[in-house]
Amino acid sequence: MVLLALGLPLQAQEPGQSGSSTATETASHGAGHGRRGRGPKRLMLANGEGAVIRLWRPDLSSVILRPEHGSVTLSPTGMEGLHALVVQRDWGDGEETLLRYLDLRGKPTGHSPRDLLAVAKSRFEIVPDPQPREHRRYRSGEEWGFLLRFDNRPVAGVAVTLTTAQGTRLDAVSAADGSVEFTLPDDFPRLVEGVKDGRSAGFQVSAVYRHQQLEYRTSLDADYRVDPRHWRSSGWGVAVASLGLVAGGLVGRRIRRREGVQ
Amino acid sequence: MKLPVNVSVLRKLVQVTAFVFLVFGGLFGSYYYLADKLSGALPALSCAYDYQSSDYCTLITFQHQLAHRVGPGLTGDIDLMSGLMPFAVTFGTFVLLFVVLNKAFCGWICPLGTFQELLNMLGRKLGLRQTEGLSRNTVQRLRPVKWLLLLLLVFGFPLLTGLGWLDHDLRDPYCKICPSRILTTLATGNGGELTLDQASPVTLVLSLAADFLFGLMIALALTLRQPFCRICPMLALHAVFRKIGLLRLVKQATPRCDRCGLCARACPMDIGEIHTEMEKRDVTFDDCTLCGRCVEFCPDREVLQLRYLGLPLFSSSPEYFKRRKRAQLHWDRNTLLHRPDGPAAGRAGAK
Ligand code: SF4
Ligand code: SF4
Repeated sequence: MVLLALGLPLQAQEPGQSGSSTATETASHGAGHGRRGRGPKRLMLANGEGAVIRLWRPDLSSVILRPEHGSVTLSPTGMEGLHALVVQRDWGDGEETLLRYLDLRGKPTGHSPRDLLAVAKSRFEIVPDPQPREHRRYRSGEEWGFLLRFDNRPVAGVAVTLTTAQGTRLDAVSAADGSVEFTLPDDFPRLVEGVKDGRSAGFQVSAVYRHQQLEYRTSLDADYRVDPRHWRSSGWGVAVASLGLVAGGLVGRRIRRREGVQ
Repeated sequence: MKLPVNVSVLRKLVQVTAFVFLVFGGLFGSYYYLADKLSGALPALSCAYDYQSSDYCTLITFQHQLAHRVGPGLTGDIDLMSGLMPFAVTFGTFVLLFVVLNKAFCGWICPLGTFQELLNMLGRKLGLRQTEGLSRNTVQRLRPVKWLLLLLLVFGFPLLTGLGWLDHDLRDPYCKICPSRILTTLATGNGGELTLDQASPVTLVLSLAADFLFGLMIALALTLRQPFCRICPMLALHAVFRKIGLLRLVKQATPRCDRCGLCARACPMDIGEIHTEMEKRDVTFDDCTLCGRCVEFCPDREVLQLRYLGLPLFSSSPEYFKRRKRAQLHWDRNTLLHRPDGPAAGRAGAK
């Protein structure tokens, strides 16, 4: 079966997957909030014939997007918040789904990201649990949870794989409540300690589930960033706070001498 | 009306409940996403960096909207109306909330205010020597600091960043030094905010200031009441709108007022004017947190009152004063480490 892929994670094609669909995101990011782009985004889709592409908006309405000349354009929806792009292909003997969440700008809708995460967007789905909060990103070194759902019910005992654009592969099995956790690997090459590194790369969480002789293959696609602990030191933070404590003790004593004690 | 507990105890119960709800609310309800938080414009320092918080303070929203909306709106990078509208909505929400409780958001709700009070109680229980109160001179010198922080760090730098005149790292400089960010994230087990950030010279300076200020505040709070509140920009923001709040501190001065001064000594913010003010009826001063301690420790009937919508909620009285003073003496006597020169009997210390 062909593995669909979108955006950056396509750089992390799994070895041996010939004929993969490929897509490259050429997004115009909004100033100040990285991925929270205002303008249209274009997604290059190679080998994506026959796939149905649907964009879910925060208010749970959705539109079908039509690929043109191997690309699909995401126009602003005018709504603020979490959107989901779902690419689906029916292979006759199964279904393949690729899902990517996008945090887009616009007017507030009053809907929580919770609403979009709760709704079933495909029969077999990997749901971020939780989705990184608004203005937050996945970062290497952090543990994040995901939920496996089939027909909106948790599925246990399914093998799940996380692959990153740097080629790291992690395996896990979903627990009784359908949950699975991964610690995003700190695998960015050429990191320099003490120097901010704004790189991001893609990762994909994938699983296959068999139901009534049909094979359901699903992937969740997202980006992760370099662990800020490479340039943010907790040790120094505690040391400076301790210095503040000592200074506070001294200042307090001085104040008491000058202004009286109780 | 005779309360089953004194106002200080009642306030402490409200404060601790508010602390748990605001800092850990996400554990009981569904407040994880920013869109789920109660208002996003709370007039108290509950922190947006705390993922479990049920709401977050208006200062971060102001800073981000000035930097990302108002500034770009003014430079024409985005449509002016869509730049100004979110700011107007936040401002409106803040004012609506503020009207309900006025400055009592500080004295009764703010997690950082509560933390400082609890630290001071701890300091007293440990028998640490306490600063009786700051002199009028020191208080006067400290007062402008909160206005500077409000004008420069909450409004000025973020707007200048939005206009493209300052480094992007200065888009939310107050949050970068705010002790509530470190406190509430640590409280939820996240040590990621107590760090030294070497990303740029700006982040390095701001994180140095934040960590130092956090330590300084803790040490000072053990022996001095509300050290950070005295320079808090939220207190300044409250001061701007204090005339529209429905809860007020009201005084009907008597000739005895200028001699006793117990109210001013009870005040955790050392507002001497409560004692000396003989003309104004509304004595909700800029630094007041509407904690009500001055009312508790005023021995004269109905000289000081907390009034809501003009109706008296709590009034000073000799009977209450006597009960309260007894409770204070009992509280002050029970310290873990006794000092012969310990808290003076009858002094209106913290409880
Ligand atoms: S850092 Fe301080 S000012 Fe910023 S959101 Fe947190 S409490 Fe509010
Ligand atoms: S003045 Fe004190 S109580 Fe009020 S918001 Fe600031 S820290 Fe909180």
